[in-house]
Amino acid sequence: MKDLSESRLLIVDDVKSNVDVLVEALRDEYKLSVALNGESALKNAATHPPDLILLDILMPGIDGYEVCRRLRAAPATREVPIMFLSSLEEVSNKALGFEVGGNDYLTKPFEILEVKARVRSLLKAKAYSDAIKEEMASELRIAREIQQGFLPADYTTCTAGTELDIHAVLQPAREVGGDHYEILRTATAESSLSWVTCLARVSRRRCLWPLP
Amino acid sequence: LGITFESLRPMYLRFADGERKTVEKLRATIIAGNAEEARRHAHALAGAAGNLGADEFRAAAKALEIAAKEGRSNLDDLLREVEQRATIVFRAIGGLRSPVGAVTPTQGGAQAPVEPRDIRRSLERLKQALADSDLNSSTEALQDLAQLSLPEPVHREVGRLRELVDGYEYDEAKEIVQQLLAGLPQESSS
Repeated sequence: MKDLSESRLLIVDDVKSNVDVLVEALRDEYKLSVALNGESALKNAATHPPDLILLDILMPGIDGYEVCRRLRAAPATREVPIMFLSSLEEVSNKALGFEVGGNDYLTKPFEILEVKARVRSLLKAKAYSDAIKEEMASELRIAREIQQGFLPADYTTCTAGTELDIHAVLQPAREVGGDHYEILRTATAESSLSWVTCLARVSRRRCLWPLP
Repeated sequence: LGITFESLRPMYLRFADGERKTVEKLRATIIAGNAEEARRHAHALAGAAGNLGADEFRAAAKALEIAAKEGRSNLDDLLREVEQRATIVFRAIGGLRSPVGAVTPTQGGAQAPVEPRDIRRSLERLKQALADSDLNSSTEALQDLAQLSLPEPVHREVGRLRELVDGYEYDEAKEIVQQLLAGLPQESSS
C-alpha cells in the first residue's frame, strides 16, 4: 500500500491566509500543490491528479461546487477524494457538497487537528481502494499469462494431414472473458473458409467472412 | 498543532496585508450597493479571521455576510463594526512586524563562480515545479537557486520569484522563469 507521506494534496482557496494555515499544518506530512482559483485547480488536477483535494466553495470564477462536478466528470479525477472546506455552514450547502461528489465537508473556522485527522482518513481509504484495484489488476495480468500459455503457437501440428493452412496470432484479452476473434479473408482463402467455428467466451466477436 | 511562532508570524502579516484590501473592497461594494459582492467579501473575511482565531472580527464579518445574503439594504452599521474589529486586529498584528521592515530576499550564499548551465538546470527544475503548482518542489528549487552566486539582475529576479512562490502566484512566477531562461547564454554544443 502507498506510503501516505508520498501523497500529494491540492489546496484550492482564493484567500491566501487560509492557504497559509493549511500549508503550515500539512507541509511536513504531505506533498502540496496550491491553486488560488477554480480554473487553476482544474488545470492542475487534469495534468497531475492529486491524491486528495481540499476545496473552498465561494471563489471568484468557477465555484467549488462546479469544480467538484467537473472533477467527477473527468476519468482522471473521478475517484480523487474531495474535502470541502468552507465558511458556508448551512445544511443545504453541506448537502449540495456531497451531492456534487464531495467526500467530506468541514466548516471554517476549522481545527487543524480535525483537518489532519480527516485528511489522513480519506487518504487511507483511497490507499486501500487503490491497493485492491492494483491487486485485481495484478491477478488479471497473471490470468492473462496463464491463458497465453494455453494458446498454441505452432499450427502446423494442428493441421498436419489436412488441407488447412492456418496462420494466426492469438493473444488473450486484457480482461478475463474478453477474448476477441477476428478472422480476416485472404486473397486465396475463400475455398478454405467454408467452415469456421469460433468457440469463445466472448464479449465481442467479429468474423470477416469471405464475401461473394 | 505543529505550527511554530516563527511560522505563524508571516501568516498573520499576510493575513493583515491581504484582508486589509478585502475590507477596502467590502466598503466599496457596500457604497456601490452591490450586496452579492459584499456578501462574498464578508464571507472571505469571516473565514480567514476565524482560522487565525480573530473571533470578534469573524463574528462581525459573518453578521454582515448574513445581512447581505438576506438582502438588508442598510449595511453601514455592520460595516462600521467590521472595520473597527479589523483595525484592532491589524494593529495587533502590526506589532509583529520586524523593525527593519519588509523581509528581504536571501543573498546568494556560495562564493564559487556559477556556470550558466547550473542556473539553467535550477530554473528548468523550478519551471517544472511551477507548472505543477508544486509547493514543495518550487521551494526546493528556489533554495537551490539561492545557493548559487548569481549575477545581480538574476539575483533580483530570484527575490521576486520567492515572493511570488510564497504568495502561490505560480503563473506569474512561471513567466519570470521563462524570461530568465531566455536571457541565459546558449550552451555550446561542444
